[in-house]
Amino acid sequence: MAGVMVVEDDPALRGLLKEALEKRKYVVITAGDGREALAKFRPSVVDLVITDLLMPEEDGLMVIMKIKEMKPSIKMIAISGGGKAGPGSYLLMANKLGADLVFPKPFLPSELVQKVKELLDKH
Amino acid sequence: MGGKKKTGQVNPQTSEQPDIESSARQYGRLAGGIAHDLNTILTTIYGYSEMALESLDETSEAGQSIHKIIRAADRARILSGRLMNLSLHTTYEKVNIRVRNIISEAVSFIKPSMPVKTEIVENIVAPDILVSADPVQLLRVFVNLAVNALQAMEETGGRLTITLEAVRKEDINHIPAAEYALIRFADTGQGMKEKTAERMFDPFFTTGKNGKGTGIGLTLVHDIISDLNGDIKVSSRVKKGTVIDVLIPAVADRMHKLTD
Repeated sequence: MAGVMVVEDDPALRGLLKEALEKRKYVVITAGDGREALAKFRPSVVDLVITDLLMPEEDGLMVIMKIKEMKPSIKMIAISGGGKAGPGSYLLMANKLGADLVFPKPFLPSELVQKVKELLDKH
Repeated sequence: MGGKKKTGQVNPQTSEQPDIESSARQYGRLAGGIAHDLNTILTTIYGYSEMALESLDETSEAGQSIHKIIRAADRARILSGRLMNLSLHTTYEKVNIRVRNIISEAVSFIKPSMPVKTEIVENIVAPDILVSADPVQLLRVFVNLAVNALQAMEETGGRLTITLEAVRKEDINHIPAAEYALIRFADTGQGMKEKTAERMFDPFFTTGKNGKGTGIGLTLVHDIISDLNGDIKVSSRVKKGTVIDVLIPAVADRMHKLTD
């Protein structure tokens, strides 16, 4: 089954996304910040990364750039609750850096899981 | 912001020039940070609500309760969007604005989060009065004062009446003006002791319990109004309520270009 990495610093949301994805039989790896994500990332296991953008340590934009380098075919979804430059601007940047989809928080997790399926089915 | 000079008067409480732009930036960052965290929390609420509905009959009592949770989250999402909009406002520009419109905007901003058994009444006596102010700054003033009033009525319930009228006054803070907009926030809350009322505009002074209130909101209110050459007067009676009068010089020429 496909592998999904969830990078999110909020433990409750991280737990929710893990549960929601595991219900759909994905193998889920979680990380609480960008640095942990880069340390745990294995190109052979992870097919899609969902990453928050504003996080301590390495932020989500760095995660997108570095993981894209390690595995150019990786699918990426960026999620963000907004920030000092506005809710849209980080997501726009994520898009330019190669995120396949961006989700401004709050979103319906069922819609995110549906998009994960669509992206991986195209794979 | 570089190069834009402030024309505010001396702050009588600190003897320092109020730095409105810096306060506004701090306030904006705070609002943006809260909105960001709130959006993350809301996603979790939506997610677990959806999951619960998957294993429940939607028409059952529990299913109905989950729908109510989702509706409450929808209201919080609207509030979070408004907070985010406030946080994005970093420029500071005075324009001629209709005070009535800013009062209406403040009321709709607050309505989703009003405590139960409280109500807001708008009493607009001077619907056309204009002042020269930054619209978002003025919105912050009104939201802060209204939220404080509502919090004072949280336990007992009550009514906040926001009155807008035109008053003539010869000399406010030694600056004469023919006409002022008087915006009165009168609540039927628990009121304040004299000592609390004296300190309410001091930085970081708060009576908020359990982490409610940062103590910077009313300081910002005071600084913004000082910057407009206006004045704030507080009168309060314990267990009777509080009246806060905000006076802002009206724009003399009503034919002046109007920004709604």
